[in-house]
Amino acid sequence: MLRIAARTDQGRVRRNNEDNFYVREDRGLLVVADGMGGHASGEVASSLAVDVIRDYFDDAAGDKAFVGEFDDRFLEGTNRLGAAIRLANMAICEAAQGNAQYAGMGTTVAAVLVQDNRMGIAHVGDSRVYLLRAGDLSQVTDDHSLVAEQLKREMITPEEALAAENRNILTRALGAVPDVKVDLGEMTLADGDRILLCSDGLSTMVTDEDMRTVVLETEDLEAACEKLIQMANEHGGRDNITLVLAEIRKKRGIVGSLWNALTSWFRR
Amino acid sequence: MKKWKSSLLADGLIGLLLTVLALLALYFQWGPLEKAEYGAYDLGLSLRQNTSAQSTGSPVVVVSIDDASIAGIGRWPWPRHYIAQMIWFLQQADAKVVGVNIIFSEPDLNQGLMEIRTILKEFESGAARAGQLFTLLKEAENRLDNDARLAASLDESKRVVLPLFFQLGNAFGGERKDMPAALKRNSVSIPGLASGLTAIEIIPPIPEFAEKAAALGHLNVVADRDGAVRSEPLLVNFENRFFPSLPLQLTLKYLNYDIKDLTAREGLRIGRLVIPVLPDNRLLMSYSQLPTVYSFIDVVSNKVPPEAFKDKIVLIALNAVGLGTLQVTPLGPNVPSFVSLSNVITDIINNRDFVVRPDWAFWVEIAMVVLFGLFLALAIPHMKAWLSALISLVLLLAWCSASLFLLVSQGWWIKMTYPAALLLVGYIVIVSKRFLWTERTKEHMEADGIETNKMLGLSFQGQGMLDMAFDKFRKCPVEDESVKELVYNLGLDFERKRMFNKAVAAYEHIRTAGSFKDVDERIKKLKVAGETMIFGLSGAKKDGTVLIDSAETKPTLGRYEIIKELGRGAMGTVYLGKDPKINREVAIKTLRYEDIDDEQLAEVKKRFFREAEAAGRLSHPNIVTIYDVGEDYEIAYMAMELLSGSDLTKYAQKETLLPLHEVVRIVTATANALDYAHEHDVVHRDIKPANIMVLKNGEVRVADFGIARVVTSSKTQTGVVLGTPSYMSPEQIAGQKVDGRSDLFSLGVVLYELLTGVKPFQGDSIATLMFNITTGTPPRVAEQLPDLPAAFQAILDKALAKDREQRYQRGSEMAEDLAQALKS
Repeated sequence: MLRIAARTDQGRVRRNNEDNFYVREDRGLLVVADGMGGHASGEVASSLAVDVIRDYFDDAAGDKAFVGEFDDRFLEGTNRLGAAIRLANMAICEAAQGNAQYAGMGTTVAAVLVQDNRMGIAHVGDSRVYLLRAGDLSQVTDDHSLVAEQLKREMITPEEALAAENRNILTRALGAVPDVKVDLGEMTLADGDRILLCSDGLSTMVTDEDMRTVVLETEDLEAACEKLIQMANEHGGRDNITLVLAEIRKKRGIVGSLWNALTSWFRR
Repeated sequence: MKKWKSSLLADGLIGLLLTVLALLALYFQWGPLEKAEYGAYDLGLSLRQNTSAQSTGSPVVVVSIDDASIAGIGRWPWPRHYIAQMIWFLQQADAKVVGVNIIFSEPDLNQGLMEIRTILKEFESGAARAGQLFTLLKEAENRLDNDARLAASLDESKRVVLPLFFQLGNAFGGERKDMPAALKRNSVSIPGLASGLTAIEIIPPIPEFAEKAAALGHLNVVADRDGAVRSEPLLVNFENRFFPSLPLQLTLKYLNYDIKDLTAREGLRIGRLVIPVLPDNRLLMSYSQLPTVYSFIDVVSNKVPPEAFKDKIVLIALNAVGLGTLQVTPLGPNVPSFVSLSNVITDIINNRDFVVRPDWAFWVEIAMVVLFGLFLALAIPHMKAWLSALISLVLLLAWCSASLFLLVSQGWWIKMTYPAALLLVGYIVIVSKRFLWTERTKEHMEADGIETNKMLGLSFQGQGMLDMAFDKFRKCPVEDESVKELVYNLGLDFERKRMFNKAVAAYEHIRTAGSFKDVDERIKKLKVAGETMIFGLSGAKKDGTVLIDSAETKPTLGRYEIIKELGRGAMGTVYLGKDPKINREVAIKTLRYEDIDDEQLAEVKKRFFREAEAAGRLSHPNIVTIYDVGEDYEIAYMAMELLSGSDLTKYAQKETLLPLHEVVRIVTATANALDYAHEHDVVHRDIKPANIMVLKNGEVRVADFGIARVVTSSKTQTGVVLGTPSYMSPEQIAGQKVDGRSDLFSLGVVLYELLTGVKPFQGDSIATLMFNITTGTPPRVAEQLPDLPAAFQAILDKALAKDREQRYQRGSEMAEDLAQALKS
């Protein structure tokens, strides 16, 4: 089972919040989208993305067409996540073409689908998915940004990357081309793992080390979210800040929960 | 969760099912697979044939009654004395044992012998027992009595084993007591041996032969299901006694053993020799050795040296066209039966090259089936197609060659077919299922349209992009009921947005595919509504109920559902709305653009949003909260806290004045609210009793911050002033830039009015009123209220000072003075 906390904040500089998120505990679906574009269109793009993904996983609306290529390496759920994102991309592209005021809008998206102990990951853009396991924080997605590409090709150093002027240039985003390539991934989760999805408003303002410390030091996910947003704002809050924090908990019997209570009491 | 694992689960289930089927087939030796297995077995044996060189010579020599012999001697059946002669000959040649592969179950009654015997009987009855004729006849009888001659040869050579034959079948009944001694002698009862093949009837040689023969052995063979002979039943159970087969008897004799030396322990044993047999006492024949074969005629005509037979096992067998028994064997079809016989002998005597089924073979087969089953169920579904193909192929080849190798080199027969078939079939089934499945998703993709368009349409609809949603839905076949439903709902959305023409278009689209729900009535109604809508735009000032029209659907403004009209304000109508997302009722103030000149529209709009947003930032217990500002279809709107209470207008009448402390409380609260707003650079500009609300619980709220500016700038410039400027400050009237102190002047007017029930500045016309505000001094309150503390006059004087520098500079100062005044 999942415990989930999610928060979004406008930040200190931006006049509107173009981020969006969606979580659905019973399906294990977590989505963060960071919209961009003139006027309010970034908001439209990110909310379109989130809504399309939400509807795609809404069983009540019936079977959904599969969009794009089925990748045999991954489970069906992960592929469906990819398909949902591709569909969202189509929606955003068409909306941008059909409405002058939405022209050029786009959004990043980072989404995970937790099914039992498997986590399917899909993302486009520089919104990130982190995994916290056994006290370590690791980024499980590669940013689709110019800086990340340069970093990968060792054209710049990590220090230069942090200071780069053009770090907001994305190499991939929903709404740019009609057939976006969605990066898929899968991993097995363990009891107590925490998953963090965030927009770059968090990851550029707060260091990984600070994130790790904040997320690890409290059992209260809501408080951790609050704290991270506060930190991002203290460091400038130059962009909208959105994060989704989830924790995997095996369902325990009565003995297990007693034991859990006991150990957590000792851990204090 | 179910859905997305289903494909893997299905693959697993298929694997499992096939494994169970394979196990069942293995257990019941399912025909087709067993036949395939025979093929593999035969292949193995033929390879064996090539590998094991005929190093050790066979002890078996065959004397074949072939076509040449028949051509030389005469047609079959020959008089039996030819066989007898051969036995004589072989005795001379010192053959060790002789087996005759011809069944003598009937006496040889030739016509000549019968005639002679009849004549002899006549002689004997006539007591004529002498005479040359009699002697000649007697000699002729002896010559013609082949059976006697053969019996004599058998008796003399003491090394001939004769065949007998069984009618195989499920025997019932116990041991027959009257079994002839010859048969009894040639059978044993071996306790603890599985009964194996049973016979219901015995066809022995005629008693003369049976008595004289050195041994008797059966000639029965058991063909496998495909008709081929691969094994020899070494023992046949007849009446609870085991009868050895001809080759077994020959072997026993050859090795100087007796039938009594047969024991059963881990197979059959002859002394030290172990014969590995199947559970039903069958021996798998290796067919690795071929016997030396001589033609009968060659032997008879001394073309074969007698040494060739010395110490050998000699089989006399038929092998001519139309005669003799041909068998299908692993060596091929039409193999003479003596090949099998000689092989059994060679195998036992050499005591190697046996083909056996080890005890563990069955378990190995089960294990392999399970292993391959697990591979199919668990591994393949997770592999890429080419990898699973490669691994499956490697596994298949490895298994087949391993089992073949064991058969060829060790003579261990492990049934390769069952696991191999499972692997092959399972792979094909799972991969083709996957292929079909991905084909299906491709099909979905290619069908692209419908499902995808529906989904995109819904997404656009959800975002309020109704036109785009309609475009998407139009690409779906409207004949489909679900599409009709979607378009219908879209039509309702159009209605809510008061886009009646679009709604009609949507309903008309549905109607092209037949009637649906109430589209016909809706179209009719909407056409009327559309006309009133156009009319309503110009008539809005009169009835102002454009939003609440005859359409049954709830109209919306932005995300708010409009429930009813609450009233009309300076800038537009106020509605009771509902935020469906959080189910909160709100008051929605609207600004209607059609009242505003086109050239000023942009400016007014800008100002509206600026002011509304500024006011929206205010958060104070005495200020009405603004939730949201937006623009939707020619109407700018502002959603705010819905208040239940009344404004102060009715308390500004002489008849309904509020008690003093209440007046002070309200004005103090208003002063504090203004203090807070001014601090945030928001000037109200229109403080008057109508904008100050007292809620049912007594709380005070100041409404409509900044809105006056939006309205006045439009109305005044078009020459229309709504209401009277009784509460305006002198600088407002003068058209100067105003600040918070202007609001405090207006609040002073309100205070005066609340205390006395009359306005401090009055005039017959607007011009007089304006003049009075800028220059006149209001009547002292003591004239009306002698009991009022003097401090209030001071407060009013200060608040209503013409020069703003003389007035209260902050709302909080006024609030403090009011509190002080009440205490005194």
